Amino acid sequence: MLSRRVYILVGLFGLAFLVLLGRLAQVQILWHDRFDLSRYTRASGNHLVETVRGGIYTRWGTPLARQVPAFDLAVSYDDLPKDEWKEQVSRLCGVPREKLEEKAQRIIRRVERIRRAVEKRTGMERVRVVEQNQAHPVVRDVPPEVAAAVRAAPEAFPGIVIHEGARREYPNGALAPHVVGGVNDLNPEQWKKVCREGRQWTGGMPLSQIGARYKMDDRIGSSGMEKEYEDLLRGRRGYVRNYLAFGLLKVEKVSREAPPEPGCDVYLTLREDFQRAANEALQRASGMPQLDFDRGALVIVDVRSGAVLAAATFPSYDLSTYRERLDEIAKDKERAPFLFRPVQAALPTGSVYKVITAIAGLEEGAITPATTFTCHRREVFEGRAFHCTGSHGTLALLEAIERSCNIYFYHTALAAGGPALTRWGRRFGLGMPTGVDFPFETTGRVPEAHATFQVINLAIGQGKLLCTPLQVANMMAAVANGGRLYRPHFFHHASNSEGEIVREQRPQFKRIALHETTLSAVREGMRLVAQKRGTARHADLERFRVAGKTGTAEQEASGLNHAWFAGYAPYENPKIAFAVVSESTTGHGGSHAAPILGMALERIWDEVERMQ
Amino acid sequence: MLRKLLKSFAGDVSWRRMPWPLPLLALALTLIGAAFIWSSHSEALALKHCIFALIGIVVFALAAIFDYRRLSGVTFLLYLLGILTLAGLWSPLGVTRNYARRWYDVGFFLVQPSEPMKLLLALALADYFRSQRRWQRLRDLVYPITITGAGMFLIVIEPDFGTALMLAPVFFGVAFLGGVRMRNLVLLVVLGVALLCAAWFTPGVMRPYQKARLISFINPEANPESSAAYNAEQAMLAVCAGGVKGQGWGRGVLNRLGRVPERHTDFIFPVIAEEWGLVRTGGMMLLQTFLIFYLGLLTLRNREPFGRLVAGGVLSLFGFQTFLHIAIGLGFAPITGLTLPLASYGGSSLLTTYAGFGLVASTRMHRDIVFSDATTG
Ligand SMILES: [Zn+2]
Repeated sequence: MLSRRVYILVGLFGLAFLVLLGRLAQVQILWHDRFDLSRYTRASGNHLVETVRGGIYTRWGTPLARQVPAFDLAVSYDDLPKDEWKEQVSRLCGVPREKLEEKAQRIIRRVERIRRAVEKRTGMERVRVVEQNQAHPVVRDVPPEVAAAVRAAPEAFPGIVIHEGARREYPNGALAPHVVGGVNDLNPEQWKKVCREGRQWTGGMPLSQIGARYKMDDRIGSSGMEKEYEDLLRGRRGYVRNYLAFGLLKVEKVSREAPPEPGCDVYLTLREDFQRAANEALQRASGMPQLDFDRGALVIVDVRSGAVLAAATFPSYDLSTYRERLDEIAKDKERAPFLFRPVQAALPTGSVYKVITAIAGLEEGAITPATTFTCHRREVFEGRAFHCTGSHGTLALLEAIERSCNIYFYHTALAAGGPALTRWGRRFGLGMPTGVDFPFETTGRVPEAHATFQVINLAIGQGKLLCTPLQVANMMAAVANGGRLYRPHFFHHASNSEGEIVREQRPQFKRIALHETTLSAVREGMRLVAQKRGTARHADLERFRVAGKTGTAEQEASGLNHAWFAGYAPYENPKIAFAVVSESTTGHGGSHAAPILGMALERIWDEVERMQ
Repeated sequence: MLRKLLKSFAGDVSWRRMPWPLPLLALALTLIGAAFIWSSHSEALALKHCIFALIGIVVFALAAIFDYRRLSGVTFLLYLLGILTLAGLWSPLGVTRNYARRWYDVGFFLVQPSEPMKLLLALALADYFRSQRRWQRLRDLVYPITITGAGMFLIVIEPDFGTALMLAPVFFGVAFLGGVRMRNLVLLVVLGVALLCAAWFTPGVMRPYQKARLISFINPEANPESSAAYNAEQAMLAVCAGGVKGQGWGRGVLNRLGRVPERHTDFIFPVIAEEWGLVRTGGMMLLQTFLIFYLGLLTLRNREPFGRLVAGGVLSLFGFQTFLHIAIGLGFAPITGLTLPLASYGGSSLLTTYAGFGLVASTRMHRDIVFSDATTG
C-alpha cells in the first residue's frame, strides 16, 4: 500500500510538471509573436507626465510666484565625470567650470548614497540603480537658444539632454519675498528627510506610485509659504503605461494613464495695497534722517480673524534678482535682510508691555481705573532707585497709559505680583508660539519675575522680555476684539486648477476672560496716547483714530533703543491691529516708530474704513 | 583509531551503492543556477554560488557516508535545536534585512536557519511515522502537527511566508507516505485552508503586502498598479519575451533593465525562461522532473521505514518547492517569495538541499539490515 502511495506522489509531480511545461509552451509559443514585445519592454511605452506647481497670490490675486515653462540642461549619469560636456556647457551657458564640476560631484555623491542604501537594504552587491541610467539636470532654466542648439545637433553634445522643465517666476518679487519663500533642488538633508518619511520615488517602483512622491532631482519648497504649503502647491505627477495583462487563458493589451494633477494655487491673506504701503513706509523711513531707521518691521493683522494683512520687514530683497546679489545680502550680517522680522525677530517691547501690566493689575484686583499713584520722577524700591521719564505728579490709570508713567506701573506691578505679570503676558500670546503658518517662528519669552527688580523691569517691558512684532500685533488685536487671541495666519484659501476651493482657513482663537471695565479702561488709555497729550502726539495720527501704546526698550550694551508703536484702529470699531518696530535706533517709540505707521496708514486709510 | 572513528560515523557503508545520478543532477541544476545568477546579478555572486556548491558536495558526501540510522531517536532533539535557533533570531544576534529578521551573520555569509528547519522537520516526522504502523486515529497526528505548526509559526513571524509554507509539503509528504488515512489528510487540508482564512481576517497576522499579492493574483484588475501585480506582470512579460529560442544568455531585455524583481532568488525562473527560451528551459524542467523521479525510485526501493520516509520527505520538499517557484513565474500562483531549489542564490538553501540529498544517498548506502527483506506495509 505504501509503495502505491510513492507511485501516486511521484505521478502527481509528473503531472504537475507536465502542466507547467504546457503553460511554458503556451506563453512562449502562442503568445510570443502576438505582440511587438519591445513596445512593452522598452521604457518608451511608460513615462511620467510632469505636473505644474501652483502659484502663490495675494488676497485679491496679485501673483507673487508662479510657474512658467523653461528648459533644463541635463547630463546622463555615466557622462558626469567626463570633461567634454563641462567645456561645452560652460561655453554655452556661461557657467564657470568649477561650478559644473561641483554640481556633477554632488549628483554623483547622491546617487552613490542611494545605491549604497539599496545595497544595504537588499544585502546585494554592486547594484545598479535606475538613477544611473538617467540624465540629471546640471543647469536649470537655460535660454531657449541653447536648448534649440543642443536639440538641433545632439551628436555634437554627447551626454547632454534638454529636459522640458519649468521655472518659478516672481512678478512681484519685492512685495513679500520672505513670506513667499524659495524653492530649491532637494539638498542632501531634505532628500534624507523625504526618504525617512517614505515619500521618495525610485525607479524600482511602479510608475503608478509616483503621485506626490519625490524624485532625487525634484525641487522642494524650502522656506516661507513654499515650504509651509508644499503639499498643496506641488501637485501630483501623472503617468502613461502600456502593458500586457497575462491571464490563465488569454493575454490582453492594456493602456493605463493617469493625468497629472496640477498643484493648487495658494491665496494669502496679504493685501497688495496694505503690503505695498507697509513696505514703502519702511523704505521711506529709512531715507528720513530724523527717523534714524535702518532695520525693523511693520505688521498689520485683521482683529476679527487673525489674518495677516501686511507683514513688512526692512531691509528686504527681491525674489527675482536676489540670486545675483546673494553674496552682498549675506554679507550684511548686522541688518540680516534674510531675517523675516515680523515673526523671527524677538525683541524687548519696552512700555508696550504696560498694557499687560495694566490688565494684570485690573484683573487681579490690585488696582481700579481710579487708583492713583504719585510720580516724583524717582522712586526707591528695596534700596534701589528706579526712574521715570518725567515728574508726572499724581495720576490715575488712563493718564498713566497716556503719558507712559513708569512709576505708576511699578506700583501696579508690585501690587499685582510678578507671577500675575508673567501669566497675563503669556495669556496674550507674548513669548509663546503664535502658531502662525510660517516655518521657523521665533518664540521669544516672557520671563518669570519674582525679585522686586525683576517685577519692576517686566512692568515696563525691560529685562529679559522678548517678543516678535507679530505677537505684539496679535496681543493688540485681542485687546481690540475683547479677548479673542487668534492664531495669526498668512493662508487664506487654496484652489485647484478648476478653480474649486480645496482648503480654506477658518479663524481659530483662544478666549481670554476679561472684565468689561478692564477693557474699556485700557482701550481709553490707549486712545489718549495718540491724542494731544499722549506719547505719540507728534505722529499726527488723530485722523486715523488710532489707539496704541508706544515703547522704547533701552539696550544697555549699545545705548541704542528698540522703538515700538503698537495698537489698533479705528478705536470705536477696531478692524486692524498693528505693531511697528524700529530696531537699534536713537529715538523713542512715539517719535521714531509711530510716524512710520502714520506713513503707512495714510496710503490705506480709505481701504481700512471700507473694510467689512 | 581513525578507522574506528570512521566506522562509528559511517557504519557499514557500501560505496558501490552510491546513487550517482543524484549528485550529478543536483550539480547540473546548480551550475545552471550559477549561470543565471551571473547574468541577473553579478559574476561575484555566481562565484559564491559555485563555492557553496563545492561545500555542498562535501556536505553531500559526508551525509551520504554517515549512517543515517544513527539519527533515529535524536531527531526530536535536533528539531528542538532548530526551533531554538529560529527563536534566537530575535536575540541581538539576528540580522534584519528588507524588514525581515531571518538571518545570523557568521562573518562571510548570512545563515538562514529556516532552511535547515525544513530538513530537520522531515527527519523528525520520518522518525515518528516509521515507529508505528497504523495511523487511523486523529490523535496520533497531534504530535506531528504540533511540531510542524511550531516551526511554521516561528518562520511566519520573521516574516517569511514562503519558507513557512514549505513545511506543509514536508508534513503532507511524510504523513502520506507514512500511511496516514486519506480521510484524515483531507481533513487536515481543509483545516489548513480554514486556518489561512482565519489568518487573513485576523488583523496583524498577514502583512498588507502579502494580502495585496493574493488579491492581485485572484483578481489582477483589483489593483493593477500595485507592486504585486507589477512584479507578476513583469515576470510573465520576461517569460513571454523568451519565445522558443530565448534571447540568449546575458541578453534578456527585461533582465538587463532590472524590471524583474529579485531576479537572482525569487524570480530566477523568468530570467532563465527569457534568456534560454522554451527548448532549454523545458530541458531544465525535465532535469528537475528526472531528479524527482529518481528520488521517487530511491524511496520506492527502500524497505526500511525510516530511510524511506526521509527520502520521501526530501522528495516532497524538493518537488513541491520547485513546482511552486515555477508556477509563480508562470502566473499560476500568487507571489510567495520562494527560491528555486539548487538554482537560486542562497547558501543556506543550497547546503540544506545537498545535505538532504546526501541523507537520501545514505539511505541507499546503508541498508544491510533490512535489505532484501520483502515485508511491506
Ligand atoms: Zn512718571
